[in-house]
Amino acid sequence: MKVRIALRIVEWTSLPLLLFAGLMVISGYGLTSEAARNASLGLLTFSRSQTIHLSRLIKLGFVSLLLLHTYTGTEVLGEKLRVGGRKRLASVVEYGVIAFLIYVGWITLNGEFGG
Amino acid sequence: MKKELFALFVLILLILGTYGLKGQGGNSSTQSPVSKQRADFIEITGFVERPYNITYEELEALPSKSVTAELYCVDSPNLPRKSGTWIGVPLRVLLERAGVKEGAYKIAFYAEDGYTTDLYVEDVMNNKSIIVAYELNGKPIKPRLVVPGRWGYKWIKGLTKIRLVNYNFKGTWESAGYPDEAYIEGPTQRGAS
Repeated sequence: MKVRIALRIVEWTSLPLLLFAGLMVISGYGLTSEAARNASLGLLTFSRSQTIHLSRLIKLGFVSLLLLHTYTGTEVLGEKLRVGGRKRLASVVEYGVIAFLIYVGWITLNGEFGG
Repeated sequence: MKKELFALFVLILLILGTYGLKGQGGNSSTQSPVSKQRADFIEITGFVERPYNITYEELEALPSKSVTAELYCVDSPNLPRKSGTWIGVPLRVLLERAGVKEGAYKIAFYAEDGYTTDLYVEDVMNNKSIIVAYELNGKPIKPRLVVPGRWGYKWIKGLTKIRLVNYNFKGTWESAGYPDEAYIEGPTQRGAS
Protein backbone atom coordinates (compact mmCIF):
# COMPACT_ATOMS: atom_id res chain seq x y z
CA MET A 1 0.00 0.00 0.00
CA LYS A 2 1.28 3.43 -0.88
CA VAL A 3 2.21 5.48 2.16
CA ARG A 4 0.33 8.50 0.90
CA ILE A 5 -2.91 6.54 0.67
CA ALA A 6 -2.26 4.87 4.00
CA LEU A 7 -1.73 8.23 5.64
CA ARG A 8 -4.95 9.54 4.12
CA ILE A 9 -6.86 6.56 5.53
CA VAL A 10 -5.28 7.07 8.96
CA GLU A 11 -6.40 10.67 8.94
CA TRP A 12 -9.95 10.00 7.80
CA THR A 13 -10.55 7.11 10.18
CA SER A 14 -9.26 8.99 13.25
CA LEU A 15 -12.39 10.89 14.22
CA PRO A 16 -14.93 8.11 13.57
CA LEU A 17 -12.66 5.74 15.47
CA LEU A 18 -12.52 8.18 18.36
CA LEU A 19 -16.31 8.33 18.40
CA PHE A 20 -16.80 4.56 18.26
CA ALA A 21 -14.01 3.83 20.77
CA GLY A 22 -15.40 6.49 23.11
CA LEU A 23 -18.88 4.99 22.92
CA MET A 24 -17.58 1.49 23.59
CA VAL A 25 -15.49 2.59 26.56
CA ILE A 26 -18.16 4.80 28.11
CA SER A 27 -20.93 2.26 27.68
CA GLY A 28 -18.65 -0.50 28.99
CA TYR A 29 -18.14 1.43 32.20
CA GLY A 30 -21.84 2.25 32.21
CA LEU A 31 -22.53 -1.47 32.29
CA THR A 32 -20.09 -2.41 35.00
CA SER A 33 -19.65 0.59 37.28
CA GLU A 34 -22.25 2.35 39.35
CA ALA A 35 -19.75 5.13 40.05
CA ALA A 36 -19.36 5.68 36.30
CA ARG A 37 -23.14 5.82 35.84
CA ASN A 38 -23.39 8.37 38.64
CA ALA A 39 -20.59 10.44 37.15
CA SER A 40 -22.20 10.58 33.71
CA LEU A 41 -24.56 13.42 34.61
CA GLY A 42 -27.54 11.21 34.00
CA LEU A 43 -26.60 10.28 30.44
CA LEU A 44 -25.64 6.71 31.18
CA THR A 45 -28.17 4.27 32.53
CA PHE A 46 -27.64 0.54 32.63
CA SER A 47 -30.11 -0.10 29.83
CA ARG A 48 -28.75 2.73 27.67
CA SER A 49 -25.21 1.41 28.18
CA GLN A 50 -26.43 -2.03 27.28
CA THR A 51 -28.05 -0.77 24.08
CA ILE A 52 -24.89 1.02 22.99
CA HIS A 53 -22.37 -1.59 24.05
CA LEU A 54 -24.25 -4.49 22.49
CA SER A 55 -25.19 -2.78 19.26
CA ARG A 56 -23.81 -4.85 16.41
CA LEU A 57 -23.48 -1.75 14.28
CA ILE A 58 -21.31 -0.02 16.87
CA LYS A 59 -19.23 -3.11 17.59
CA LEU A 60 -18.57 -3.89 13.94
CA GLY A 61 -18.03 -0.22 13.13
CA PHE A 62 -15.50 0.06 15.94
CA VAL A 63 -13.61 -3.09 14.98
CA SER A 64 -13.59 -2.25 11.26
CA LEU A 65 -12.23 1.22 11.94
CA LEU A 66 -9.73 -0.17 14.42
CA LEU A 67 -8.41 -2.69 11.90
CA LEU A 68 -8.25 -0.17 9.08
CA HIS A 69 -6.71 2.61 11.14
CA THR A 70 -4.14 0.40 12.84
CA TYR A 71 -3.12 -1.45 9.69
CA THR A 72 -2.62 1.69 7.65
CA GLY A 73 -0.95 3.44 10.59
CA THR A 74 1.48 0.57 10.88
CA GLU A 75 2.23 0.80 7.16
CA VAL A 76 3.15 4.45 7.66
CA LEU A 77 5.26 3.64 10.69
CA GLY A 78 6.95 0.75 8.87
CA GLU A 79 7.89 3.01 6.00
CA LYS A 80 9.33 5.57 8.39
CA LEU A 81 11.42 2.90 10.07
CA ARG A 82 12.64 1.61 6.70
CA VAL A 83 13.63 5.07 5.58
CA GLY A 84 15.52 5.39 8.87
CA GLY A 85 17.41 2.19 8.09
CA ARG A 86 15.59 -0.04 10.61
CA LYS A 87 14.20 -2.56 8.17
CA ARG A 88 14.20 -5.49 10.56
CA LEU A 89 12.23 -3.61 13.21
CA ALA A 90 9.78 -2.43 10.53
CA SER A 91 9.10 -6.02 9.48
CA VAL A 92 8.68 -7.22 13.05
CA VAL A 93 6.19 -4.44 13.79
CA GLU A 94 4.23 -4.93 10.56
CA TYR A 95 3.97 -8.71 10.78
CA GLY A 96 3.20 -8.57 14.49
CA VAL A 97 0.40 -6.09 13.93
CA ILE A 98 -1.02 -8.08 11.01
CA ALA A 99 -1.14 -11.24 13.14
CA PHE A 100 -2.79 -9.43 16.03
CA LEU A 101 -5.35 -7.68 13.83
CA ILE A 102 -6.31 -10.92 12.14
CA TYR A 103 -6.76 -12.45 15.58
CA VAL A 104 -8.99 -9.53 16.63
CA GLY A 105 -11.01 -9.85 13.42
CA TRP A 106 -11.36 -13.61 13.88
CA ILE A 107 -12.66 -13.25 17.43
CA THR A 108 -15.06 -10.53 16.29
CA LEU A 109 -16.41 -12.63 13.43
CA ASN A 110 -16.95 -15.60 15.71
CA GLY A 111 -18.38 -13.46 18.50
CA GLU A 112 -20.91 -11.85 16.20
CA PHE A 113 -21.83 -14.64 13.83
CA GLY A 114 -20.54 -17.82 15.44
CA GLY A 115 -23.83 -18.64 17.14
CA MET B 1 2.81 -10.47 -1.50
CA LYS B 2 4.74 -11.72 1.51
CA LYS B 3 2.33 -9.98 3.86
CA GLU B 4 -0.73 -11.43 2.14
CA LEU B 5 0.74 -14.92 2.45
CA PHE B 6 1.57 -14.31 6.09
CA ALA B 7 -1.99 -13.09 6.73
CA LEU B 8 -3.40 -16.18 5.06
CA PHE B 9 -1.11 -18.39 7.13
CA VAL B 10 -2.28 -16.76 10.38
CA LEU B 11 -5.91 -17.15 9.35
CA ILE B 12 -5.45 -20.83 8.52
CA LEU B 13 -3.74 -21.35 11.88
CA LEU B 14 -6.68 -19.76 13.66
CA ILE B 15 -9.25 -21.83 11.77
CA LEU B 16 -7.34 -25.04 12.40
CA GLY B 17 -6.76 -24.09 16.03
CA THR B 18 -10.42 -23.29 16.61
CA TYR B 19 -12.06 -26.23 14.86
CA GLY B 20 -9.24 -28.69 15.61
CA LEU B 21 -9.52 -27.98 19.34
CA LYS B 22 -13.28 -28.35 19.22
CA GLY B 23 -12.91 -31.81 17.72
CA GLN B 24 -10.56 -32.85 20.51
CA GLY B 25 -12.90 -31.79 23.28
CA GLY B 26 -11.28 -28.43 23.88
CA ASN B 27 -14.68 -26.79 24.08
CA SER B 28 -14.97 -24.76 27.25
CA SER B 29 -18.47 -26.04 27.92
CA THR B 30 -17.01 -29.41 28.88
CA GLN B 31 -18.00 -30.24 32.43
CA SER B 32 -15.26 -29.41 34.92
CA PRO B 33 -14.04 -31.91 37.54
CA VAL B 34 -15.47 -29.67 40.25
CA SER B 35 -19.01 -29.95 38.92
CA LYS B 36 -18.72 -33.73 38.81
CA GLN B 37 -17.91 -33.76 42.51
CA ARG B 38 -20.82 -31.58 43.54
CA ALA B 39 -23.12 -32.61 46.35
CA ASP B 40 -26.76 -33.25 45.51
CA PHE B 41 -28.14 -30.96 48.16
CA ILE B 42 -28.63 -27.30 48.94
CA GLU B 43 -27.35 -25.86 52.19
CA ILE B 44 -29.51 -23.22 53.85
CA THR B 45 -27.51 -21.37 56.41
CA GLY B 46 -26.48 -18.02 57.87
CA PHE B 47 -28.92 -15.76 59.69
CA VAL B 48 -31.51 -18.47 60.31
CA GLU B 49 -32.83 -20.24 63.39
CA ARG B 50 -32.45 -23.76 62.00
CA PRO B 51 -29.80 -24.20 59.31
CA TYR B 52 -30.39 -27.33 57.24
CA ASN B 53 -29.47 -29.18 54.09
CA ILE B 54 -32.10 -30.22 51.63
CA THR B 55 -31.46 -32.93 49.06
CA TYR B 56 -32.78 -32.67 45.52
CA GLU B 57 -35.27 -35.46 46.29
CA GLU B 58 -36.52 -33.66 49.39
CA LEU B 59 -36.83 -30.46 47.39
CA GLU B 60 -38.99 -32.17 44.80
CA ALA B 61 -41.19 -33.62 47.54
CA LEU B 62 -42.14 -30.17 48.85
CA PRO B 63 -45.30 -28.43 47.62
CA SER B 64 -44.39 -27.05 44.23
CA LYS B 65 -45.32 -23.98 42.27
CA SER B 66 -45.24 -23.54 38.55
CA VAL B 67 -44.06 -20.26 37.07
CA THR B 68 -44.13 -19.29 33.41
CA ALA B 69 -41.27 -16.91 32.78
CA GLU B 70 -38.51 -16.04 30.36
CA LEU B 71 -34.85 -15.72 31.16
CA TYR B 72 -33.15 -12.75 29.53
CA CYS B 73 -29.41 -12.27 29.60
CA VAL B 74 -27.81 -8.85 29.64
CA ASP B 75 -25.86 -9.65 26.47
CA SER B 76 -28.97 -10.51 24.43
CA PRO B 77 -31.79 -8.41 25.88
CA ASN B 78 -34.32 -9.07 23.12
CA LEU B 79 -33.93 -12.81 22.87
CA PRO B 80 -35.04 -15.02 25.76
CA ARG B 81 -32.26 -17.47 26.61
CA LYS B 82 -34.71 -19.87 28.20
CA SER B 83 -38.47 -19.79 28.42
CA GLY B 84 -41.36 -21.93 29.45
CA THR B 85 -42.87 -23.33 32.58
CA TRP B 86 -40.60 -23.74 35.53
CA ILE B 87 -41.58 -25.96 38.43
CA GLY B 88 -40.00 -25.58 41.80
CA VAL B 89 -40.39 -24.58 45.40
CA PRO B 90 -40.97 -20.96 46.37
CA LEU B 91 -37.77 -19.69 47.92
CA ARG B 92 -39.87 -18.15 50.65
CA VAL B 93 -40.95 -21.63 51.74
CA LEU B 94 -37.36 -22.81 52.03
CA LEU B 95 -36.48 -19.77 54.11
CA GLU B 96 -39.52 -20.15 56.36
CA ARG B 97 -38.49 -23.74 57.10
CA ALA B 98 -35.16 -22.39 58.33
CA GLY B 99 -36.71 -19.51 60.27
CA VAL B 100 -35.35 -16.18 59.16
CA LYS B 101 -33.62 -14.38 62.02
CA GLU B 102 -34.33 -10.75 62.71
CA GLY B 103 -31.65 -8.64 61.09
CA ALA B 104 -31.29 -10.84 58.01
CA TYR B 105 -30.93 -8.35 55.18
CA LYS B 106 -29.84 -10.17 52.08
CA ILE B 107 -29.59 -13.67 50.72
CA ALA B 108 -26.35 -14.85 49.16
CA PHE B 109 -26.64 -17.64 46.62
CA TYR B 110 -23.75 -19.88 45.67
CA ALA B 111 -23.44 -22.17 42.65
CA GLU B 112 -21.34 -25.28 42.22
CA ASP B 113 -19.04 -23.46 39.77
CA GLY B 114 -18.29 -20.62 42.21
CA TYR B 115 -20.80 -18.15 40.75
CA THR B 116 -22.73 -16.06 43.27
CA THR B 117 -25.68 -13.69 43.25
CA ASP B 118 -27.94 -12.05 45.81
CA LEU B 119 -31.46 -10.93 46.60
CA TYR B 120 -32.98 -8.87 49.37
CA VAL B 121 -34.76 -10.92 52.04
CA GLU B 122 -37.73 -8.55 51.94
CA ASP B 123 -38.14 -9.00 48.17
CA VAL B 124 -38.13 -12.76 48.47
CA MET B 125 -40.57 -12.88 51.38
CA ASN B 126 -43.03 -10.72 49.41
CA ASN B 127 -42.75 -12.56 46.10
CA LYS B 128 -44.18 -16.03 45.66
CA SER B 129 -42.93 -16.22 42.07
CA ILE B 130 -39.28 -16.51 43.06
CA ILE B 131 -38.73 -20.24 43.10
CA VAL B 132 -35.93 -22.76 43.25
CA ALA B 133 -36.81 -24.66 40.10
CA TYR B 134 -35.99 -28.29 39.45
CA GLU B 135 -37.94 -28.71 36.22
CA LEU B 136 -38.29 -26.73 32.99
CA ASN B 137 -40.95 -27.64 30.44
CA GLY B 138 -41.30 -31.10 31.95
CA LYS B 139 -37.58 -31.86 31.95
CA PRO B 140 -35.51 -32.11 35.13
CA ILE B 141 -32.84 -29.47 35.66
CA LYS B 142 -30.26 -28.80 38.35
CA PRO B 143 -31.74 -26.49 40.98
CA ARG B 144 -31.95 -23.01 39.56
CA LEU B 145 -33.30 -19.79 40.94
CA VAL B 146 -36.15 -18.40 38.84
CA VAL B 147 -36.57 -14.67 39.37
CA PRO B 148 -39.19 -13.41 36.89
CA GLY B 149 -38.73 -9.87 35.63
CA ARG B 150 -35.05 -9.71 36.54
CA TRP B 151 -31.94 -10.16 34.45
CA GLY B 152 -30.44 -13.62 34.01
CA TYR B 153 -27.55 -13.00 36.38
CA LYS B 154 -30.02 -13.40 39.24
CA TRP B 155 -31.15 -16.80 37.87
CA ILE B 156 -28.27 -18.73 39.41
CA LYS B 157 -28.04 -22.36 38.31
CA GLY B 158 -26.44 -25.33 40.02
CA LEU B 159 -27.47 -23.83 43.35
CA THR B 160 -25.55 -25.33 46.28
CA LYS B 161 -25.89 -22.84 49.10
CA ILE B 162 -28.34 -20.20 50.30
CA ARG B 163 -26.87 -18.03 53.04
CA LEU B 164 -28.75 -15.27 54.78
CA VAL B 165 -26.59 -12.37 55.83
CA ASN B 166 -27.00 -9.13 57.73
CA TYR B 167 -24.87 -7.03 55.40
CA ASN B 168 -24.97 -5.88 51.81
CA PHE B 169 -23.60 -9.00 50.13
CA LYS B 170 -23.09 -8.63 46.38
CA GLY B 171 -22.79 -11.47 43.92
CA THR B 172 -20.38 -11.99 41.04
CA TRP B 173 -21.90 -9.54 38.57
CA GLU B 174 -23.37 -7.25 41.19
CA SER B 175 -19.83 -6.73 42.53
CA ALA B 176 -18.71 -5.91 39.02
CA GLY B 177 -21.17 -3.02 38.88
CA TYR B 178 -24.33 -4.57 37.45
CA PRO B 179 -27.47 -3.16 39.14
CA ASP B 180 -28.25 -5.06 42.30
CA GLU B 181 -32.01 -4.90 41.74
CA ALA B 182 -31.61 -6.21 38.16
CA TYR B 183 -35.14 -5.34 37.09
CA ILE B 184 -35.57 -5.59 33.34
CA GLU B 185 -36.71 -2.28 31.94
CA GLY B 186 -38.09 -1.53 28.50
CA PRO B 187 -39.66 -3.75 25.88
CA THR B 188 -38.31 -7.02 27.28
CA GLN B 189 -39.90 -6.44 30.67
CA ARG B 190 -41.94 -9.49 31.54
CA GLY B 191 -43.40 -10.74 34.72
CA ALA B 192 -44.43 -14.18 35.71
CA SER B 193 -47.73 -15.92 35.39
